[in-house]
Amino acid sequence: MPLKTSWFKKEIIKHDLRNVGWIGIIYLCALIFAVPLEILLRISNEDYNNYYMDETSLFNFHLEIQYFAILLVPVVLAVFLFRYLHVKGSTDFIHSLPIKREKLIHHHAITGICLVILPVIITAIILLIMSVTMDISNYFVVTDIGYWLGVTIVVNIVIFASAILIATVTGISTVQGVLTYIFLLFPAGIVVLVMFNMDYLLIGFSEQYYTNRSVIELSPITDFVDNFDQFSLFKSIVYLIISVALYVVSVQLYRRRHLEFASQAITFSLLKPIFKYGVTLCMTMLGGFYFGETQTQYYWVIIGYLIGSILGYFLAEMLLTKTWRVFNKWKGYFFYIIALAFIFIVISLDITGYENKIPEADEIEQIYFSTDHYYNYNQEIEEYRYLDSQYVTTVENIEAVRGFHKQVIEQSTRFDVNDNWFERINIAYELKNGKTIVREYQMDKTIPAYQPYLKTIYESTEYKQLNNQILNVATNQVEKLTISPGVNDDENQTVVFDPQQIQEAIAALKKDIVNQSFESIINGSYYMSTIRILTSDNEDIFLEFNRSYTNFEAWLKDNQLYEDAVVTADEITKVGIANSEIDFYELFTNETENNSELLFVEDKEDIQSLLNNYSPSEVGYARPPFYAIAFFVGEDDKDPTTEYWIPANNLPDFVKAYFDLN
Amino acid sequence: MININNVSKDFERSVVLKDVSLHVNQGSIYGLLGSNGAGKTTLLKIATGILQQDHGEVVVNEQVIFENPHIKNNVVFIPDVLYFFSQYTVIQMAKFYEDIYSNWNAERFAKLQQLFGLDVNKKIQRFSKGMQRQVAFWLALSAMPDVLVLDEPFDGLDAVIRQKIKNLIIQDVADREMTVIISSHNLREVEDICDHIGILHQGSLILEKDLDDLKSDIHKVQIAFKDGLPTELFNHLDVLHKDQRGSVLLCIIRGKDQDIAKHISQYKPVVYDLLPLTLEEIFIYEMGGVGYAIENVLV
Repeated sequence: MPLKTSWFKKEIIKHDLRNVGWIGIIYLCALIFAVPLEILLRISNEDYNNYYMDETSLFNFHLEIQYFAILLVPVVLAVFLFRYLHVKGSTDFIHSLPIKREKLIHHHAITGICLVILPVIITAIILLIMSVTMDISNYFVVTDIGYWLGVTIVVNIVIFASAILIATVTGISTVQGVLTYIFLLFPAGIVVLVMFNMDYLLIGFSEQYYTNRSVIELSPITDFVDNFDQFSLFKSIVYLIISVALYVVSVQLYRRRHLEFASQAITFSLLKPIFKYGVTLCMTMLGGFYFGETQTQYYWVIIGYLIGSILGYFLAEMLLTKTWRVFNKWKGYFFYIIALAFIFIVISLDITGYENKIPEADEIEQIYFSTDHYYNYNQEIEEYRYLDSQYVTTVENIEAVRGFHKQVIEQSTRFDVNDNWFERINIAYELKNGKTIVREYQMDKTIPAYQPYLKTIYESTEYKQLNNQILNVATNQVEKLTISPGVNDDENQTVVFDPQQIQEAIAALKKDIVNQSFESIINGSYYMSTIRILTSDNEDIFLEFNRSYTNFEAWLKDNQLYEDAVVTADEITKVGIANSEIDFYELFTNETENNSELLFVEDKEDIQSLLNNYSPSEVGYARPPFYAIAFFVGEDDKDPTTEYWIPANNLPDFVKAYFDLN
Repeated sequence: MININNVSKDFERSVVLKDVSLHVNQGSIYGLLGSNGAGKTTLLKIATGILQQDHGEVVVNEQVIFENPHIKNNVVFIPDVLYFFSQYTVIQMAKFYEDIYSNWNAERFAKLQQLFGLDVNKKIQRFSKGMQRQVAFWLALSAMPDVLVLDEPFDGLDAVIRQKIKNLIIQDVADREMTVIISSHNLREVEDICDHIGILHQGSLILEKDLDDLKSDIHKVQIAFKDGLPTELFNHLDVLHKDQRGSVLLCIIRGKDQDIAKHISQYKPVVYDLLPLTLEEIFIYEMGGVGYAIENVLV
C-alpha cells in the first residue's frame, strides 16, 4: 500500500499555528514595544539625558517588559502546544492518528521554537534597519543587536525545552506551568536550601561559602535576570547543550508515557513517590530556612521543619490524588519523619569530626579571618581598592587564629542562630596541599576567653594592613587631606593640599594605626571628626579619628589645625541625649525641659566629658542600647545641627546616672 | 485481521482488563458488549494503538499496532465522546485527515456530503450532537480504513440516522471487506448488524460467539407426555434449562435441531414443539451463573 513518504505533516503545523500563533504575535508586539519603539520615542523626544547612556545593552530598554516576555512566552507556548497531552479527548484523538509520538513532539517543538525565535529575529531586523538608516549609535551598535538576539534566543530555548520536558511528565496544564518554573529554579534553590539547613545541623558550616554568586548561575531564570548583560559564548553553548539534552529526555519520556494518565498531576508511577517526598523534603527545608533566618531561637527551626514537612507532604498528596481528603494518610508522613530525623541526627552527630577540625599550624598556607559581619572570602572586593590581600600568614597570627578557633568550638552551641548582635565569624584555612577548610560561626565575640587571641591578631601589623586601606597607600599617592570636625562640617572643614604637610600627616596616621592597642580598637573613644583622604587614583578613604592617634593629634597641633579639626565644648550651646529607640528627633525639636526620656546638657564641663567619651555606634564591640546625642550650635536651640548614635556604655557617668543605666 | 492475545491492563492498581483474547476476521462486524465500566473503551483504545497494554499483544494485519503508523493508517477510531479541533470547519478537518491518512478519498468525501447534506464550511462544534457524529463517520469513511473501531457509536442518534450509518458501514464491509468493531452496552442496538459478539465483564471476555451459530445451536422445546416424563429422556441432551408448567415441560436445549427431534421422538411425546429463541433469551440461558451481568447488556 503506498504511503506518502513526506516526513513533514503541514496540517499539524497549521493546527499548531491556529492554536498558538497568537502567542508569537503578542511576543513580537511586546518586543517591538520594549525596544525599537522605545528607541524611536527617545530619539523623537530629543532627550539629551539619553545622549550619554552608560550601558548600551539592548536589554536596558524596558527591562521589566523584556524579562516578563522572555521568561513567560516559552512556557505559555509549551503549555498550549502540549495541552493535547493533558486533555483526554484530544490525547485519544491525536494518538489514534498514524503518526509516531516522536514525530508529533518534533512537529510541536519546531513550531514552538519558530514562534519564540521569529519575533526576536524580526525585532532584531527592525533594529538593524534602524541602525543602518538612522544615526543612533549612542543608543546601540550592531554588535549589541547580535548579543541581544543571541541571549534572548538561548534563554528562550532553554526555558521552552524545560517546559516540554515537564509537559511529558505531567498530565495537567496548570501543573506543567507551575512545575516548569519550579524545575527551572530548582538547581539554585536546592543548593541554597541544603546549604542553609546544613548550617543549622553542623556547627561552623559556612553556607555563604557554598552559596556565593555562582549559585545564581545554576538557574536559567536567576542567571538571566542577574547576568543578562554578561552572558558568555561558552555559557550560551552550555545552555544549548542542556536544551538538547532536555529535549532528548523529553522524547524518550513521551515514548514511554502512559496516555491514560492525562489529567493526573504526574504521569509516571515511578516519579510519584519521588515527587511526593521531594516536595515534602523541599518544603521541610524551606520551613527551616524561613524560620531559621527570620527568628533568633533554634526551636523555631524545628517548628519550621514540622510546619514545612506537613504542608509539603499533604500538598503533594493532594496534587497527586486530586482531592482535599488526604488527611487520613499519615503513614507515609510518619515514615518520612522517622527517616528525616535519622538523617538529621546522623549529620548532627558529626561522625567525620567536621565540627572539631582545626588544621595543624604547619599545614596552613594562609588564613582568611574576618570578624565583622561582611563576608568577602573568595569574592571580588571592588570597593576596597587598597586591600590587595585577604590573608593572615605569620606564624603568630596562624597560632592565634587556631587558638581562637579552638575556643570558639568550645564555646559555641547549636543554638547560636542569628542573635541580632551576634557577629559572623569567618575562618578559611588555605592549606599547603591545596585544600581549603572554611568555617563560619554566629557568636558574641566579646566573650572573655576569646580576647587574648583577638588581641594578638588585631594588634598585628599584618591584620591591620588587611583592615586599614591607608596602610597600603604610599604617602606620595595622597593628594588631599580633609578633616571634618563632626559638627557644622560645611563651615569648619580643614583641608590640606601641601604635599609636605600631607606627607607628615599620613606618616603620623600610619604610625598611630600601627601602634593602636587592642583595647583602643574594640572600645576606644573618638573625636567626632572624620578624616578623608583623597588619593591620586581619585579614591576616597575615610577614617574615624580615634583619640589614641597621638602622633596625628600632635601634627594637627604643630600645624595650628587642631582647633578647627576637632569640636570643643565652647562651640556647642547645648547637647540633647535620648534613647535611640524612641522618637528622639521629636523630643529634641519640641521639648526644652528635661524629662525622664530626655536630658539636655548645657554645662561646658559636662559637654566636654560627653565629647571625650564619644564613640561611633559602628566601631569595635559597640552593643545596644544606643543613645542619640544631638548637638545644638549657636542661637538656634530648636534644630540640632548634628546627631550621632553612641553605645550607652560610652556615656559619661552623670548621664548614665540620669537614665538609670547600669 | 485483528488478534488481541492475552491482553491485560492495570490502571492505578485496579485491574481494567485481565487476560483478554479476541479475534476478529476480515470483513466481519464484531460487537463488543458489556456494562459500563467493563473495560470496553480501554480495550478499544488498546486495539487501535492509542494505549499500550501491560501484557499481551495486539496484532492487526500481522503487525503490532502500537506506534505503528503503517497499520494505524488503515485504522480509524471513533470515540464515544467525539473530538474535533476547536474552531475547525468540516473542510478544515477534512484537509487535516487528508494530510494524515494516505488513503483519503476526496470523491468519497464529496459523495458522502450529498448523503449527509451538511455544510462543509460550518464550524463542527456549532453542529448538534447528532450532526457531529455524522461528521465523524463522514471523515472516518472518507479515510477508507480497513478497520473501523466504534465506541458506542449510536448513542444519541435518532432511528433514521442510525439506520443510515449502519447501511454505510454494511456497504463498506460488503464492498471492501472493511473490518468493524462496535462497542455497545445494549445488545439490541447491534444485533442486527453484527456477525460476532463478545461480552466483556469486569475486564474479562466471558463469551465470544458467532451469531449465526448461536441462533442455530440453541432451541426452546415444549414437550408433554401422556404417562409422565421418561427417566432417560435427557440422557443424551445438553439441557440448559427446564421448567415444568402443568403437564408441559419447557426446556432449553443445545444441539442440532434434527438430532433433538430424533432423540425426543423416540419417547413418543403428546406435544412436541421446537421454537426459535430470541438473542436475548439465548444469552440468558447460555450464561447461567454470570447471567446477571448479561442482563444489563440486554435491556
